[in-house]
Amino acid sequence: MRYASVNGIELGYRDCGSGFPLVFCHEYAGDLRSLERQIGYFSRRYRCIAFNYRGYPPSTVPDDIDAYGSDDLVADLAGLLDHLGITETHLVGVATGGGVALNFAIGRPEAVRGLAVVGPGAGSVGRPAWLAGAQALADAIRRDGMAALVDNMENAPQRQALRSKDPIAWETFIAQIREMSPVGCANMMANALMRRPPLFELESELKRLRMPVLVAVGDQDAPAFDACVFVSRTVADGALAVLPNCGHMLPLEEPALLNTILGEFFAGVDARRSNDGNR
Amino acid sequence: MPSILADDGVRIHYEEAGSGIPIVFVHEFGGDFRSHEAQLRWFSRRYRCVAFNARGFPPSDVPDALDAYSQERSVADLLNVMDALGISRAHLVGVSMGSFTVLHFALAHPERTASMLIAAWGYGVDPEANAAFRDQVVMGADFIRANGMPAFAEMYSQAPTRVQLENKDPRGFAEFKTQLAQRSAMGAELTMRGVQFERDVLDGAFLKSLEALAIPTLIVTGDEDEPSLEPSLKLKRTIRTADLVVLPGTGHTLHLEEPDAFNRHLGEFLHQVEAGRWRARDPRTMKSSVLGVEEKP
Repeated sequence: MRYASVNGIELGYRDCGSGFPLVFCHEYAGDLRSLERQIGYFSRRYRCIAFNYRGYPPSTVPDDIDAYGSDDLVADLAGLLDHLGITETHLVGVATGGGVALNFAIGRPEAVRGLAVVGPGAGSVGRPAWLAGAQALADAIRRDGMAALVDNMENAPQRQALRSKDPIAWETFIAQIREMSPVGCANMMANALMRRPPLFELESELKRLRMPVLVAVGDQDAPAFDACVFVSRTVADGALAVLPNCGHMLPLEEPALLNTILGEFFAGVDARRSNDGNR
Repeated sequence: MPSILADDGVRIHYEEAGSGIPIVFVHEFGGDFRSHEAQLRWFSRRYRCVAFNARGFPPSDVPDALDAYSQERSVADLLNVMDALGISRAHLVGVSMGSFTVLHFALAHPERTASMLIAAWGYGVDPEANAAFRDQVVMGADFIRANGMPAFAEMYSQAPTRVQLENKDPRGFAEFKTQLAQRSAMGAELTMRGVQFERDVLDGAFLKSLEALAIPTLIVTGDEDEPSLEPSLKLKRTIRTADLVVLPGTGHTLHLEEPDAFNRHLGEFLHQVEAGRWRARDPRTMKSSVLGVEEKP
């Protein structure tokens, strides 16, 4: 793990491989370790960078809930790239990380060559019920610690596909949750996730995105599905991949299939860039 | 179908699809540019794909002089095609006879070879098997002269490394056989006598020159393509920048038998090359030690 001082906090990150950068933003219920199958695969071809958000040790865990705005996460990503001297990158965001990646691309479109988002947008549909559940989860984590998030995961419908497909990956996932910070997770849920705008409200911003955007989502990922379809149809150059018999955890559920889809997508983006250079 | 004129006046027909970095496909003896449809239709979304028919394979011209056919001449034809189409550098994909053309082209024109895929390579290169291979080539050429292409297609398609296609894909096999039967008998015969009969064995100067190659290379063969399997492994061990893929349950027409696997390996390979991350084999993997225990000095 390496560290970068960004926006007054320390971010832990991994940086492996070489060549054009490919930066990963992780999901809410996991940290950069949930992306190991992707980083391990793509580092043969790209310089892969994955970082832990604020609130996810060993990154700094601020006590103040106001330090966990969704804008803060985007600013941390921007700060990390500045720290590394990266002016242009491919970007992959999973779930909450998809929202971070989309908002970063909206703010700094020139810095994103190809953008892949995996199952972003939970809370964009059925919002009142989703907000109530999120508030209850944040409160439970504050009260009971990480056991509350484990309990939530064990009952979340869109998390069951991994559990039945790959019990070992599920055990690892649960074990890693227990190592995460209750303060960080409660604050993330109560601020960044609950106060971020639903993706449908970003329509005009998404319409202005010009880089190729791939949206991947599981066919059983009900909380994210409609928002994923919306994003893929709203951006100027969007594509949608729906993976069969999949929930919310595509990087862990279907690493080979997801890596193939991501690899094809970025190969196409890279080839298109070569064409622009040739013609 | 458009064409170019080779520098000895022979007309070479080609097909082109897509735009971007060029890939040139060089077909095998048993097929022609049409056997690369599955590649053209996949890679044209990302690359400028070119496939052409060798001389002797209509609608390319079929010269009637034996000395118009040789390995050197097929390299010159590939060069003439690239020159005529303004292609200074390309990824080259060769199957069987076409893979020999690609390999010799890369040796002669390394600066114009971005990478090479060498598929179903190696018939006749084993010094100990070369005489038998030459006998087969002469018998095949004589058979064509005596009996014509339809009879040759019946026999040739039942070769031990062709029946895999019949088992896997009867429609693809029927198409392969029909196309072969409709080919020019003179072109096929002279290609056998002029190009295949004179094939280099893998030793001496040829072997040395391959050891010096530093071009990104992917070697692909089938586990049932016996005349290609051992030579492909030897080639992998000779070219330091080569990886080897062996496709399971697969014979000689691997791009027809397994278009999806073939395209996937080729696509991964090309993207790796273009990312600037292809590499020579790690020297640490080439010590004679099995367990890493150092040999005594």
